Amino acid sequence: MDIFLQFLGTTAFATMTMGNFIMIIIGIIFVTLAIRKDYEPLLLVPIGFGVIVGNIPPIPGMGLSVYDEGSVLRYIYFGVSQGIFPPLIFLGIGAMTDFSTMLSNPKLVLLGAAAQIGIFLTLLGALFLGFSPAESGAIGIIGGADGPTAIFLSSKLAPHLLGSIAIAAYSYMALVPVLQPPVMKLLTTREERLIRMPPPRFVSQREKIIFPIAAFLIASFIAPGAIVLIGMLFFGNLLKESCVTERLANTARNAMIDIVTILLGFSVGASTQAQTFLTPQSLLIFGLGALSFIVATAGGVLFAKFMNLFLKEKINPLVGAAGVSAVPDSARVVQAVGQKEDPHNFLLMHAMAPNVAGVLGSAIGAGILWSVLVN
Amino acid sequence: MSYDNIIAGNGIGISITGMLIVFSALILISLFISMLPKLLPALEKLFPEQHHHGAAVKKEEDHTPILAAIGYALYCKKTGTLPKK
Repeated sequence: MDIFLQFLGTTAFATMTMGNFIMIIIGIIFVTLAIRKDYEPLLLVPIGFGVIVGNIPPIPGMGLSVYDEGSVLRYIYFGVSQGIFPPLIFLGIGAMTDFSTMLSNPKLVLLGAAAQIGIFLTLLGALFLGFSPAESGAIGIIGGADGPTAIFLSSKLAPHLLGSIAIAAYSYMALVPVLQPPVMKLLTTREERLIRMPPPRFVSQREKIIFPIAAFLIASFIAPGAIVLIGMLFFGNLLKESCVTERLANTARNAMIDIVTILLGFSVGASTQAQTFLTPQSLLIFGLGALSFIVATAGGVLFAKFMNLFLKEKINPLVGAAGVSAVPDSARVVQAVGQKEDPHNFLLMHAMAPNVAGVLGSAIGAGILWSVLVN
Repeated sequence: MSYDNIIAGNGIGISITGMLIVFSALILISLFISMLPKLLPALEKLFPEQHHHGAAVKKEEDHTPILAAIGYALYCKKTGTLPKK
């Protein structure tokens, strides 16, 4: 009987807290949103299930959770805590990204820079709320709308906030179709939303091969802190565009990125134990995260309008909203909002240019923050 | 919650410098992309394109027969002349 009672004391029924219960509900909501609403299912299903797994209270003395020495989950989480997984994801993203639209219309690259205002204004907001400079940098990168970049930087600057920042970044990326359209409509007139842009020019294979090498050199000379992310991104792209490493490119953009996404999503989810996750700080991070996406979207749209003051061939300002990276969701949102006004206006290919430029911009921003705030 | 935290953390300096660096990097990349089509002819003279031993670039497949079949099937469905199995 004693043994049975002792066993009962170790079950989750006895050790479960209200916080764990709330987190399990959140995990179930994530999985439900992914399956029923199709919100970023490749990320929300692993993260959501990880949240459920991570909130089953571990038995003291047994290595079970990501925070227990020697546990299996801890070994998987090692790839997150040491910033190993994000560069591997960037390799896969590079191997699946076509920079043609950006190469055909280089002025749209600037929209990817303008949207990074979200990072730096969120940093100011976090400092204002009392976070340390390193924590503020890690929170600010949520405005880059790039999950792997957010995880990478927070693992370097504020590992204790990694779970909250990762969940906030991925949640808001899934909510891009909800967050962005009101801002885009508020800041543009109907006439602006109706602007049609000329089709992109043909880009030769040689341009596509030269670009990743040259762009990497430019970006890494200016912001050496970004070499890990930018280097892997452009290496993946070179594998794709060189046409002689098709097998490697295929592995990077299919099997490898899928494996890393599973491990990253699941272990980030499992790191959100209620005891470490349900804190007032997390609520502030979620608030700042929402603000950062809104500011980044507004930054891109307003900068497109500013550029139109000087351009003969006008840019549809909606395209500026794709400057927040969130590839390719924000570009899809631009297409959807544009087509509501004019069903025959196809903005997707134009929006992909600031979209991929936004990936570069957020990675460079992360490199800057890392090098400035690491000490 | 205080504006002093921003000053103490040198927030404004970091933000302005950060935005300037991001813009500089992307402006330089943008300028390079703009010049690339002009550089290519010079590059072509130095390194003319040649066949290599690696995998060839896949040529665009001719999808005309498939498109024609889809178009015919849609036409038959619309006009009610789709043959029954």
